[in-house]
Amino acid sequence: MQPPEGPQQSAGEVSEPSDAALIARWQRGDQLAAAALVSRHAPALARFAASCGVREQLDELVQDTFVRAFGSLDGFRADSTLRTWLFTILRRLVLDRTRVDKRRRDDTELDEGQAVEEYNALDALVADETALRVRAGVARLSPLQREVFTLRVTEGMAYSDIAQLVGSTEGACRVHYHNAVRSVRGFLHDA
Amino acid sequence: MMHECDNGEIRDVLPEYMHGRHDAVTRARVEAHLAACLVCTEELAFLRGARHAFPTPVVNVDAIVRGLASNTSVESRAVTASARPRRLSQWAIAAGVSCVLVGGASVQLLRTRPPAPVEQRPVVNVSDSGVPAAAAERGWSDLSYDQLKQLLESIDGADPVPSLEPTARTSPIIVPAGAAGHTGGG
Repeated sequence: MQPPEGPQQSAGEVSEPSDAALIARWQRGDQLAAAALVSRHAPALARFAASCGVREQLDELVQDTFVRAFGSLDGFRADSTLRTWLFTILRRLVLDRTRVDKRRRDDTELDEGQAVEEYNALDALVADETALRVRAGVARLSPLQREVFTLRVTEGMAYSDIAQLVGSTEGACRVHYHNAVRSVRGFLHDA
Repeated sequence: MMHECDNGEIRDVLPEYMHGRHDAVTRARVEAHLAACLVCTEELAFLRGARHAFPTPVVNVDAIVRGLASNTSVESRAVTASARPRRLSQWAIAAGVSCVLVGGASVQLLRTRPPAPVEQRPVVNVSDSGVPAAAAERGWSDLSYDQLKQLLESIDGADPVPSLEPTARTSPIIVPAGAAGHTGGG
């Protein structure tokens, strides 16, 4: 099992500085604090972007997320975690990029079948067959179901944070999650 | 066919359990349920597989930190820490100056603009000219040849100094024959 990322720590582990403490240190000019924050959150951000279908310039996207976040820390509300806020910014950037790409292609939205074929073609070299099938099953979900499922399964994010991130309610996110689980498991079962 | 566990509460928290987000008490409760529930055990296995189906892409943390440093200077960080009031005041000053400039320019423009000439039309007392008032209201095109001729003659003979006070138009009161006595006896 992968160790949990972020500031959440189990009892007995050596406590790492909180995000708030690192932000304060960075604002005083401590470059190491910025590196610690990026190291802590960048992998999860990149993973989420990849699960949203971003294939190119992931580093740039994650960097843009941090630049925007750190450039407007006064807009950061303390009622959400820094990670949720970063995910919210990243999600907005991904949506913007998707819109621009769509406009550039001057194309209509891919239907589900096309999306799955494209996904399979891109991942043809992935050795793990089960992982491929899971990803194909996730690719068939609606965009919102996919986001909720990914944030819940790959990040272990709470419903309240996901609801804030995607602009929905906890109840709706709970329904999306369970429907997504049922759908992907059904896809694996039938495949 | 997939079976579903009736314990929705445990199924709901399996992702948090997988990520080690629970305290010891909740973790023990979940594990006790898993020991007795094959359905939830299978779902947890599925979630673990799904989690690893999305490997973490390699990101260049150093490059991101460098980019962050070049995009956000120490000065801007200090501003960020207490930026909102200062930024607001700068915007307020800029907006105020803009309003004053635009407003002043507008006032100056209004002052320098020559007054629009007031068109003075000679007032023709329609009732005096003999043209039926109803015809005048309908428009000149509805007048007959004789009426137009009469109107032109009245204009020729009109007072060159226009009357600024319009003459009150009075409609004749038509009293039906025989009704006058009744009304008067009223």
